[in-house]
Amino acid sequence: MTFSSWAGTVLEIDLSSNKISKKKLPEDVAKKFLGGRGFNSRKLFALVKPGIDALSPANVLMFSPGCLAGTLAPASDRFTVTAKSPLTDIFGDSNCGGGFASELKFAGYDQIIIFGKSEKPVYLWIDDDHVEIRDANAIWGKSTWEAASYIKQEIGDPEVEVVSIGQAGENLVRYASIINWHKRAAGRTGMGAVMGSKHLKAIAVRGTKDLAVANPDAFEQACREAFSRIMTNPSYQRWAEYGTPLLLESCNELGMLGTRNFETNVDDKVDEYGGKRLREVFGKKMRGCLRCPLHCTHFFYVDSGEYKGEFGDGPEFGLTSLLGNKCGISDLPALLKMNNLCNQYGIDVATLGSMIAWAMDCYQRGIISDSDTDGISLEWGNHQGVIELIHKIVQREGFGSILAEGEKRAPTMIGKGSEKFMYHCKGLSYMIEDPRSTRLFGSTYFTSTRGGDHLRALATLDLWRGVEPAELLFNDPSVADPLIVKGKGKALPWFENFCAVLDATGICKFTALCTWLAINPNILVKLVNSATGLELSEEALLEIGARIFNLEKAFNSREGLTRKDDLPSVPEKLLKEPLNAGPGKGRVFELDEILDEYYLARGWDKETSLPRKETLANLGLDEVVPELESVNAVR
Amino acid sequence: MRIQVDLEKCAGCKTCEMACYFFKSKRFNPKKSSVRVAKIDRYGIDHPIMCRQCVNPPCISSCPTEALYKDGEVVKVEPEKCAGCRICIESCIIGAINFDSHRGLPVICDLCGGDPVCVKWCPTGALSLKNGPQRKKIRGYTEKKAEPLLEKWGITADTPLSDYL
Repeated sequence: MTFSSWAGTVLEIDLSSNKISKKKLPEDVAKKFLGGRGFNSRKLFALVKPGIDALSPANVLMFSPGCLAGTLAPASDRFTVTAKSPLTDIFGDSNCGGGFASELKFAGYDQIIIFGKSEKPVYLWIDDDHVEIRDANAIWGKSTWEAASYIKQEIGDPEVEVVSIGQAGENLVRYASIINWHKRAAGRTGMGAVMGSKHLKAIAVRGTKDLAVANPDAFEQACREAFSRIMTNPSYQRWAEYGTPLLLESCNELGMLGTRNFETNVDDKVDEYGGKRLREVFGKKMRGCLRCPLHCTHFFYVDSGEYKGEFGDGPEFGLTSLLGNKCGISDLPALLKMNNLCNQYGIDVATLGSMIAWAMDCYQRGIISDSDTDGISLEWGNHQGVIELIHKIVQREGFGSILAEGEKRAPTMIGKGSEKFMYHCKGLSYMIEDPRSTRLFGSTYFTSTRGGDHLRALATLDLWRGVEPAELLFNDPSVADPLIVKGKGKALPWFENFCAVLDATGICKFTALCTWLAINPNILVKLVNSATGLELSEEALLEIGARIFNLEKAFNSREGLTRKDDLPSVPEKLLKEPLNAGPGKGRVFELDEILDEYYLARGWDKETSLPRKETLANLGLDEVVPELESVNAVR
Repeated sequence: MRIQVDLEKCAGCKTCEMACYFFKSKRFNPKKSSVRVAKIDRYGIDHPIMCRQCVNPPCISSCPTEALYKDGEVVKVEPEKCAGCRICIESCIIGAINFDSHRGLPVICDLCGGDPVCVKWCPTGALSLKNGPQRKKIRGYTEKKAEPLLEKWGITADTPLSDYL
């Protein structure tokens, strides 16, 4: 069969035996899971048995580009990295932009699956059909930037695409990331640490093959429509000029910040480190991932002050909110410096910010002192101290070795009630938008299959009070009201399913959902059908998303997760303490009520959250049932 | 006519590369595109490079088999004469010639017959099709000299002087 839009081959690498093999992409798998996250989640369930140590050779690391990567579809150059997470010990994955995804497709691959562990540091060189495991001794210990530059010189081609880990991944910091270019990151859940545990420093690709689509004329038409939908969207200007950093100002207005580890929800200093100042004072140009018209990244330069000379591709809201707002840091140049450090070291800015905010909170409360922190004074806002700490965390030195362990483990190493100030779900810290102010957006943190995470659904509908889309999608305008509880649990699966499909196609969720559905199921199904030759309806497309999501849920259920794990780490804070400011003032987060509705909508057991056999069967996931049954993880 | 590139607007998305080869073949392969975006990623530089339709093209004069020729303004290749030696690629002073390794032929921008697809697909307006060379510097000099004179005459220039009036 000639594949359209898929490249056709799965590459399997066993680093223990240095065995390289290529398998044909099965047609039925391509149709059922589409690509990217879909392919990876399916394989993770099949290959990684419950209870293994995520940093052991038994873990499997996968890379998969979306099915639309390598085409003219807008914002489509994304790939997913998947493995069991060493941070959360459950399902882990990360989605990343840049240019790596399309290059994999041009080289002929829809997925790379990496087994085992190499004795010595190596990197993978993929040059169309030629695949080689190469010595990486010269770059072990180097930053992601240096490693990529070295590899390009060694190969003799500045245009090869490289993903690599930095020192954080090498030192098995549990939230190490994988970097493409200078700032494109597969950030969360510690995929970089898994890569480091396998002694795999980098993967370099060059692809020179043509990629075809099933119906080129219809596909071109759909791409034109998709580009136009994005660029004529009312929010396009805002995101194209300011990017995610503008969310700092928006969240402040909505009373949804997490200032000083959730002490309060506003910050009178937002103008110092928000998107506006970033653009006006430090931004030189906007850049983006391949094929994206939104180009939401600032290229910045700091021309004066303490951090003079710092330049590079800019930070996201994840950094300015978690390393900035949550830590009481409003010094933008300092944050820009941290941005560059995190990208070079290859470390997740989100978990890092939450770890440091937690440490600062503990320090402020006297739970830890200078003797614990190697003399670093963790006062709110001490950016010099934070930078010093980042170096230590990456090297696992002193106090850094505790923080390197992440959300679940670090508090147990400190004790003294410190866990009361670490806010996460299933071991992954979540964003600063408080669920008490935004029930639809906030619920995602607890239902996400990779832990505390907003990107699993990116349900921004009630952040922006999109009444019209709420009517259109759910016949229920109240879904867009962040303070109304009823209807939220029922609506949430739609977003989770849609996001799973976006991750399978490689299309950027920011472009699709923060423009408020510039890319919706309607245009997405046109793109997918004309590219692949399938004839999916919108419902069938979203069903693929539900299939992927349920498979991830099955993985977690098999690991022993139930309803009790869909709760915040500090229930008293969100579920019992009324919010003291903002639109949600006086309210608690009615999570139980929302979860009841959600499990019903998902077809899962209300009491345990475990999936029902009929639900899995209806999604074509019969084959996972016997295994789940054997560990009592299905109803 | 040639394609103008605004370095400050280019976001490095390489949609131009995809559109170019797709227009010719209905398939996707940036390496066979007439336009390639050179990136100095660390410094935020994204630079689309394509043929500038030289008056004295070094590619044509260096071709040992005389396979390259001018058709009006654009440079084209006669496939039967081309040996695939790639001397033209090395001779191009701006590195604008690409190589289709499957057909063994150089790839040189032909402006799509007058309506370039890269310009149409570029989301930032970094690419545009313009007549003649940019005489910006000279015009800037004139505008500087004109302002005080207009002021002396008592004329307020409410239209920007740099527009084509």
